Amino acid sequence: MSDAIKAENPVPDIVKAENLVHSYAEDGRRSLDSLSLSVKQGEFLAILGHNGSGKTTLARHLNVLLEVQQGELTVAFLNAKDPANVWRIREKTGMVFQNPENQFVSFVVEEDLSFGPRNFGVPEAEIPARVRRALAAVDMSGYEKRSTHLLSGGQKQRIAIAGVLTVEPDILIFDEVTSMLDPAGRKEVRDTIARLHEKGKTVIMISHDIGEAVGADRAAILNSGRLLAVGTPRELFTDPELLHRAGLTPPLPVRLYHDLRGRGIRLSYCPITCGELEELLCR
Amino acid sequence: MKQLPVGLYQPGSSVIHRLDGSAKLLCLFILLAGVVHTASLPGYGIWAAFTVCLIRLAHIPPGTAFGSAARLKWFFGVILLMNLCFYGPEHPWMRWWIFCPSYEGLIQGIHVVARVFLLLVLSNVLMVSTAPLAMTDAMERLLSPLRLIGVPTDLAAMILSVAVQFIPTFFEETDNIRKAQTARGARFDSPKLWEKAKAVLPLLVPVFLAAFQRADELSLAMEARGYRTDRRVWKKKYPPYQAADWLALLLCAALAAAFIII
Amino acid sequence: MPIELREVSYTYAPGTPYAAQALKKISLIVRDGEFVGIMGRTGCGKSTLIQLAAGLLTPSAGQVFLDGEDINERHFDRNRLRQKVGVVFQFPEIQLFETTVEKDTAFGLKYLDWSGEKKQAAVRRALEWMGFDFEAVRNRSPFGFSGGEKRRLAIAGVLAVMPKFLILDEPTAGLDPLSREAFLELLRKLHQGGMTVLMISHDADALAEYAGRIVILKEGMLFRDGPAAEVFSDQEGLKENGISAGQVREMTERLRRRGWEIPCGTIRYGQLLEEIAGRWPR
Repeated sequence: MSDAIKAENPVPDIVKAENLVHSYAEDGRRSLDSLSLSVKQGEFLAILGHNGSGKTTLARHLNVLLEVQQGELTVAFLNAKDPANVWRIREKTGMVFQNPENQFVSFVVEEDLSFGPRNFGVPEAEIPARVRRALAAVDMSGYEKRSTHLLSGGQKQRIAIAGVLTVEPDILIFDEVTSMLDPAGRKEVRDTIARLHEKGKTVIMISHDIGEAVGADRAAILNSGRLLAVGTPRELFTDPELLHRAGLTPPLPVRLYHDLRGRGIRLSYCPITCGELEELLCR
Repeated sequence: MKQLPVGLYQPGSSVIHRLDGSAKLLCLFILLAGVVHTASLPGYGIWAAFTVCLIRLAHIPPGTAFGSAARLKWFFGVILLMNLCFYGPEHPWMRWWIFCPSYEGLIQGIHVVARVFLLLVLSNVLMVSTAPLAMTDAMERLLSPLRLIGVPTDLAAMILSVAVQFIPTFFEETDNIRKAQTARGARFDSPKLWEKAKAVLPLLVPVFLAAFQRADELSLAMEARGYRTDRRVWKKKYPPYQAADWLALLLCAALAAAFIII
Repeated sequence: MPIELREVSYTYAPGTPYAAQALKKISLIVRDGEFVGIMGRTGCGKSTLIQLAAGLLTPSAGQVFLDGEDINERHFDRNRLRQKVGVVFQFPEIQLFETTVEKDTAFGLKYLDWSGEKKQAAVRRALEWMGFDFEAVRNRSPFGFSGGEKRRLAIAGVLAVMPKFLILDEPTAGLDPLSREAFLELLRKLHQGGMTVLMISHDADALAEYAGRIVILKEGMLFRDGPAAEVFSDQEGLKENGISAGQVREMTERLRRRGWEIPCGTIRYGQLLEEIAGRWPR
């Protein structure tokens, strides 16, 4: 797409939240407080914050697992407040949760992957092909007949991802999907998410690990249900004061950059990856 | 995975695996009817041979097939003894206090044990060779006439399938909580019954809370994946029985009928 | 009081088709006052190892000694073991069950012949160690706390018996960054107060910072055992076996490859900062 066409046809907002307010309890304590945020089609957005900052509440709105109490929300260009749209929105958004074990409905990979498409009325004859494609997308081709209980943590979570891919959603929401995995499993899942984004899916990733968000297009930081900041990872992660306020810790290179500065060593810019820091120090 | 509960599905592609789930379930019922009507030792011999054939056909390792039954060896022992000692008081070998062991008692004991044993092994063959979802489909299919009177059979089948799915996790979790509380000083291994009973609470509360939490998370995940109880979008069409399914049914029916009539 | 494992093996479900050997002839001594980090990939046997050390599993072969006594001997006093060795399982918040924080924390004291005052003092101390105000929380339900707080409450319940030896399985899993740091600092304080700590973790940076010794298991056998700086020096060797030596060590390696003469035992953030600052400009 040339720049001229791009300017005329800007990428539309596939998710648009305006002044969302949500409260679980009667006491009115707000877990989301006038939150406005939009996500472009094909974008990789990381939503960060400490536990209890409202990340998960926001994610559950995007899949209409929680009803909009106050404010406006469109997901996949559909109004989330219209009860008639609930199932269409769920078909367009796939949500993967923290604990892979609590997402399976069957022992057998193939049967679990068929669950979503069957719910959405996909013709039985089409399902095996979808299962094959979804397994290929998470790099687990040939696992159709395997038992979910005998997989590693990373594999289980990839199967959980495949389980939402069989519905062929446009938007993928990952709610702390790596927090229960070991480093090897984390890497597998992170790589899978990156690949899915490259293939054109809109990715919304919820996390409290900044290291996972460095590769995102944009990041949003939540704190007590409010949007504290939104911007590119570089804009946000190089500001330790902002991160501290949100209960997050800066990436290693950012910490080193600032501590070196405190000792009078000034690097030309603040690196956010180890590779960048290496280049700066070895110039 | 610490200790897998026996009776779990083991994927495979044998003739038995490929049979329709509901046909297999029907076969099991028919066979059990036959087993219950068996009244002679050679009869059990025939059943045992038949069962071994089934296990070989399904490529199930003997340890898996007989595992659940073998675990009940003490139970079988007690049943056998009880029957031996209390069953036929007419012509006992001897009488001592309340015990009156007799030949009839021994035979009766063998009958009961053989029946329960066959029942367990045959059910196990079905469980091991049938995927849980195929199993719930089968139950749903066999129960589907109840839909006519308004029973939500698909819902019941789903609940069953998910519950079965969680059994290994549940065992593992219980084991972990038991260990955690033991490490804190709880006494489950105490010889005193009273202390054992008191120790149940620290185990039960966490196990239930954990199960509820899992159920809560799973229900969210299922909802997110489009599951709905109000309206079933996906109308299930059951595949018609194949020749193999009919053959299996016929064979089982013939065998069972032979025993029932004789 | 050292814990010693002597040629310990463990097999799950022996004699069944599911039999699996989790540990193969492991020998290990953990001495008083050590802070040992245990690493290894999922399924390498590290959870089995700590359960054997805590007497929660009985070895299939070999012996486990506490203070020179075989804990699996029939005459060994298990209560002494429970009081000396505290175990924090993965996601320990699940083990909370009582109606109030005070009762839950005191659960482990039930069988100890301590006076009422001594027990209450122990509960108070354990809760304060874990960063709670005893008076403020004692009558609250343990279920009304946030996830991170519940975890600290559960750990207080383990610390109440004042164990000399604390075994933890992935205690920081799922915690957000600030809770993680706060927790590790609490652990450091306990260690400085004389407690011996044995911690399983995947978090190499945390272990590099806090643990003096690293033990790595691989397929049920000892793969590495030594001072943290030494074990993490061999970054390549660890990586080949799917184990990360941490981000700091990774940065050190990157700079070393580009000609910086930083020692490969540079594994802590403070060390790396000093090394870079001390050699700048090159």
